[in-house]
Amino acid sequence: MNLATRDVTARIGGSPEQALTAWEIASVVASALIAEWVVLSIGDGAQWLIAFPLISAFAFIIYSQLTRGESWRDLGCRVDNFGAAMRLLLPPMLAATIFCLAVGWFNESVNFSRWRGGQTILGMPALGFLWGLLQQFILQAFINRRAQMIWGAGWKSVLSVAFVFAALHLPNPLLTLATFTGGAVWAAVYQRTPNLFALGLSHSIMTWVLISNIPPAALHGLRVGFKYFG
Amino acid sequence: MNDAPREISRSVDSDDSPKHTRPSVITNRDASTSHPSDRLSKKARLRLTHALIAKSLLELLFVGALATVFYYQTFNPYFRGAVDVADARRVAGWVVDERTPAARVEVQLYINGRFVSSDVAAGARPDVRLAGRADDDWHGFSFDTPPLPHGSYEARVYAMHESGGGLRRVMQLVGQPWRFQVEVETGGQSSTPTSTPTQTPASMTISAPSSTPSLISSPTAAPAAAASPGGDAGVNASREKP
Repeated sequence: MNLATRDVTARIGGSPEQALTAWEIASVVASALIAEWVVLSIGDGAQWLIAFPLISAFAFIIYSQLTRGESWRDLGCRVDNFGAAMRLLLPPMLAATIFCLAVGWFNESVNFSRWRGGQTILGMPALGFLWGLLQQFILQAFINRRAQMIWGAGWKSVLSVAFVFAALHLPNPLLTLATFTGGAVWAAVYQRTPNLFALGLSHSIMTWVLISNIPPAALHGLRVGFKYFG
Repeated sequence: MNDAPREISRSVDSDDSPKHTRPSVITNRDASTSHPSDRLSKKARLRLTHALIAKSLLELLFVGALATVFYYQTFNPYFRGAVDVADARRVAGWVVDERTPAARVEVQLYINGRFVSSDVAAGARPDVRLAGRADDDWHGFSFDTPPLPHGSYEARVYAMHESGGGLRRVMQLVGQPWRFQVEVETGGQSSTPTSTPTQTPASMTISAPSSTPSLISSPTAAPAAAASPGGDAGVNASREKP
């Protein structure tokens, strides 16, 4: 592969291939929407059915990545650029933390032990990190990379990732706004320095900061999809 | 759309000092990974397309099956029943859940869209059993119509269906909405010369048993039923109808 084809600014030429890539994104987003809006709307002990769209999405993501010959390193599962990614992430994380603290202080809702990610003291950070990593894997290692195949690196693909991430958090208004902002920042950082561990860490820390400061009523228990109404 | 960036890359590649100019194109980006720009072979593209079609079909089947099961659980398609009479004295009829014919169905009466009363359809209706709609006689309902001032009214009876362990309750219209007229108000005793079902079937209308025209009252039997104030007037009036 020569440098020109490896350049992030180079894109897929043929429109059928772009259509296929767009279909890949739409298919995985559809699986997530089925899980959020169809399975969860049924309730009455049928939540285990959520496994079907999730397994279907994951199986396809892995298959697509294998077919495209994407290595773990390509996807961002690496440690060599962890520091560089964290350096890029720190300024927006600090800004968001200061903003959340200000909102929390103003509303007298600061409580850093509010988030219960697990039963043990290790449970919360471990589960939080894994959950963040999982979301970032889908969002960046799959959607962001395919968005770049369609639009190339830059604001178009960054915004498309942010839109997808925000849409998956509808109809929770505050969460939709927060995920749009966070999605844009994480997508931009990933395009410059792809490191999923740094993004997963940032995701879990920002979730903790958000939950600890924003009034719980405004976050509506972080509920999304049909569950938001229940 | 795709050519411009490539031309930039080519111009950079063709530069005399590519090591110096190259970083200016991929500014601040990590160039040690393969970027998502690799073309797919025809075979790989075909494989991905097949995988996408298979995934879409599987999910379509999954959602379809889920929607069907959900519909059958949430809305009971096995309710059968009819309103035989609706006038200023009473609103009566029958309803059976054919999935569990021995069960008694809860019904609610609404007049002009306002809730009036709730009851369990457990009144004697031997004609329903004789028509083969139920295993026993106890599927009738009869509401006393509340005192109403002079005017035109519409009565609707809904069968209640519970699902999701009590999380959901669905109202399903029994038969058709019935229009009736209250001519004279005399302390709750009114005369009703006309009483007919509205010809606007609702979305969840439960059809009257077409196989039993002589047993279950047809709309034309309603005035006769209205004229008889007895407890089984509706049934009697229905039986009188050929």
